[in-house]
Amino acid sequence: MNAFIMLQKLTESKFNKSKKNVNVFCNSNKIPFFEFRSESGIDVIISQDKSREIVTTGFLYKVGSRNELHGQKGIAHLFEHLMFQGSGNIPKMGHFKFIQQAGGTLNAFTMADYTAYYEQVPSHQLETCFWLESDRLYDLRLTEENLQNQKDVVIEERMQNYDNAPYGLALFKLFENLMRGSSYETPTIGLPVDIKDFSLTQALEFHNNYYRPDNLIIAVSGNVEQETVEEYIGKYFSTSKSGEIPTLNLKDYIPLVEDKLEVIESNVALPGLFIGYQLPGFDFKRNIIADIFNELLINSTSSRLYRKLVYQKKLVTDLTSHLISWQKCAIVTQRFFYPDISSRNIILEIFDREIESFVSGDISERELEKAKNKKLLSVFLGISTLLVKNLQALYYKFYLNDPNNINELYKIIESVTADDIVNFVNENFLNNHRYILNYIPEKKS
Amino acid sequence: MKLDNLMLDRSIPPLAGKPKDVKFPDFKEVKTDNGITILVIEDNRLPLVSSSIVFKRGKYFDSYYGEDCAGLGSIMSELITLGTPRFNGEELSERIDYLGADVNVSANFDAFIVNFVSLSKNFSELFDLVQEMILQPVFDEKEFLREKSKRLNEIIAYNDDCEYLSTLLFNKVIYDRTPYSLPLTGTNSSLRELSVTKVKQLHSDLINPGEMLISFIGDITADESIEKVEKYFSHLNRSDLKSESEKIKLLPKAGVYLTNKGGAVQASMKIGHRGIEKKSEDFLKIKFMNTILGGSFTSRINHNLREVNGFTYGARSFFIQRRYAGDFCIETEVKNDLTAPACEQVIKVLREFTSEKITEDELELTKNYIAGSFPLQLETPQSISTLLINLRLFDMEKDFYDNYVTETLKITSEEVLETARKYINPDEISYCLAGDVESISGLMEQIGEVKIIQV
Repeated sequence: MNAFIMLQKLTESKFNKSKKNVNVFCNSNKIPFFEFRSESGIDVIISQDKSREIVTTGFLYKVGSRNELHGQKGIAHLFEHLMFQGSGNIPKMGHFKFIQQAGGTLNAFTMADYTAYYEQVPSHQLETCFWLESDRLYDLRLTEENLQNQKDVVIEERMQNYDNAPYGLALFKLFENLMRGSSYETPTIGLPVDIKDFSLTQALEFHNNYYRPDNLIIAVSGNVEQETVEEYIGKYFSTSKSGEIPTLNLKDYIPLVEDKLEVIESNVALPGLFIGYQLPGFDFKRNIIADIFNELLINSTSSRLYRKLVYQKKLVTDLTSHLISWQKCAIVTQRFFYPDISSRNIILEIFDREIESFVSGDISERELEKAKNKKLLSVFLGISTLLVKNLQALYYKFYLNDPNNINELYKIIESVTADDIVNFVNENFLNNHRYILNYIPEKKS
Repeated sequence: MKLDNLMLDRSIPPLAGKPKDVKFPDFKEVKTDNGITILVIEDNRLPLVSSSIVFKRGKYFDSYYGEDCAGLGSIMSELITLGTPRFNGEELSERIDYLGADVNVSANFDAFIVNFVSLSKNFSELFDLVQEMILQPVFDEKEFLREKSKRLNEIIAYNDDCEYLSTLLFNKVIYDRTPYSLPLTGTNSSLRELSVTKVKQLHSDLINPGEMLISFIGDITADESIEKVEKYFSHLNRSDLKSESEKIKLLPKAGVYLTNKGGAVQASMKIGHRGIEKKSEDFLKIKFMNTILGGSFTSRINHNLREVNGFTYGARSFFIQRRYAGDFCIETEVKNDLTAPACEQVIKVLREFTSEKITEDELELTKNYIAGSFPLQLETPQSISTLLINLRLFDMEKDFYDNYVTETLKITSEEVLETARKYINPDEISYCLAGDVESISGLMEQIGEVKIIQV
């Protein structure tokens, strides 16, 4: 899956609760989590929800593109593909067959910080998920032929989502400039030249290093008894692995020392403008403030910039802002598509003026309330499916070591004040340099 | 790996349970005196209410309003959110956002759909706004012009996308000059032809309670729901039901068709032919058959193109079934030099699939998958509502989902072959590709005579 899109989904849906009269986040209605650590070192989370006859599993390995060495960019994601190519007792593509047989669905995605695999099945089929995941953790089998085949698939994936997509390489440019020097400089999809070079030995080594019970979080949500999960963990995941996880030395970006503007001529029909700012690493409350700020500024039709640029001045056809927050560093990027190539500077001017106005002018109660309500809606819509709820449990366990942070979201959203917004703008926009990327249509010969 | 669990033998898979026969969840269905169908699914696990107001589009295709009116329905949908007697567009969007709500109006070939959702404490206020948008849109000339020019710019951006271009090409070829051949978003020339008068005409044709369906889902009771419909929609008069159009007859259009996106390194391919309308006695069998052919990750098409050949990131097939006609399509994206080889593989798969029975393994797997995954389709009240609305919209059997699991488990491999032969004909296939014509046309000549079409 495209990490960029997945990320957007996670940031859009990752927060939680409701409003004044709403019962969901009161103590009696918290999403319940039970946690334990297996003898083999796995952190296990169970969240029971008996309202439906289904259950969802999630397996998060604490490895992603941040762990890739120089010359191995794209390995973490390629490796996710290899996990479907067969293990001791399961043939190539067997995961799909067995899960389909069970009436379920499955998928996986790779992020910069972690890689996640998940299944959703009718509740009486849960054991199949544990059996499948256990086999590829303890007994993965790789062949040259399958490795080659999946390299081809991944290179086609990159071509479809990046090389051949309009503005597809913007993400690479943004990361290259904003994440320079950090562990996140190359997007997860990686570099074809590295992917082609990846050897079977390196693949096995990668598996040995990172696919280990003590590098794993498992979450199970849905119609399930705690004892059942404990039994399956004991049966399928009690074995430890020898050796150690390689030490992780996460590197931060080199801060921009001046504003930078880069113009690229490309085979696109409409000019595109991307503005990116550097932010410090993962911060729970800051991320919520950023989401609310993005609502106020750009991400809804009643936001300040949408009204100015789309509605009143008709300069822009599409605009959005979003936060990418990894463990060690974060960026926030705005994207504008506009029809008239000569309007770039006026768009930038209006953008700057509106940013400035958060600090110099007022943020009314009603406006803030509106952005918070929008945020709450997306939180609720997110947790309305087991799958997303379970992935969020993994997410908060991974970043904050506690899935119960889902239950804190409502309180935190409610607590955000106009001053928080002003401080956020001051710190991250007004007193910060930026990188601007401008795509313009190439001249047709 | 040490200390392996000696008791565990992973060579034996856990017993796969059989699919359970799941009951379709309870819902309420009422019809008002003036003919509006109301569906209610109560579910108070989250403080949200969502609702859909659906208008059957009947024969009111865009083309009904003039030769070149593609995009009319979709422009009307946009304008619905942009002004009522009480509020202008900016005020409406501010109010909707303040309620913590989301309103989405869309037009497809078969219906106009207004989907909206909010925190439950604000739902009454939201419903009041939405009914006003639907019943009393002002269709302001200035908003219309703004929307039109925005749309023209969007079309320029869409033209960057090979996938969009190949879809246009495929629809143009397969649905040759019928209403389904035109893009819903409109075209450069059609958008210039549209007028507020036509938008108003379409709107007044649509507001017919006899062709309206309203669903309420979530933290709301049936009584509250019915009360709202009565309050706002009971005054509408049922107009004489418009005569439904005939089924649309499509002709075979076998051939190789290309449209140009200069400089593309990959081509987007749509390979297929005419299909079947939505209401079909074979609906379930077609779904079953297509799941094996290209409707799942383990399907023959994906297995061949991705896992065996590494030609693509993914490939799939589907039957698009609309009210009056449908199509069968295989879609994928491949590098320029793999276009012809991929076509050859596709046709090989299709010939095998229409001449030999599927294996017992495939039969069992698919039965277990389709029947077994039924509970997953019923996870959220929203997904249940979508299933119900589709049944009603296409006048399908009321008990369709009650029999879904048992009917699926009855399907035989003979029936799958029969269905494949009935609905797939490898000799009728059209190959529709969007990509860099200069790089791919020579190769594609190996497949058949190339026709280049501007979309």
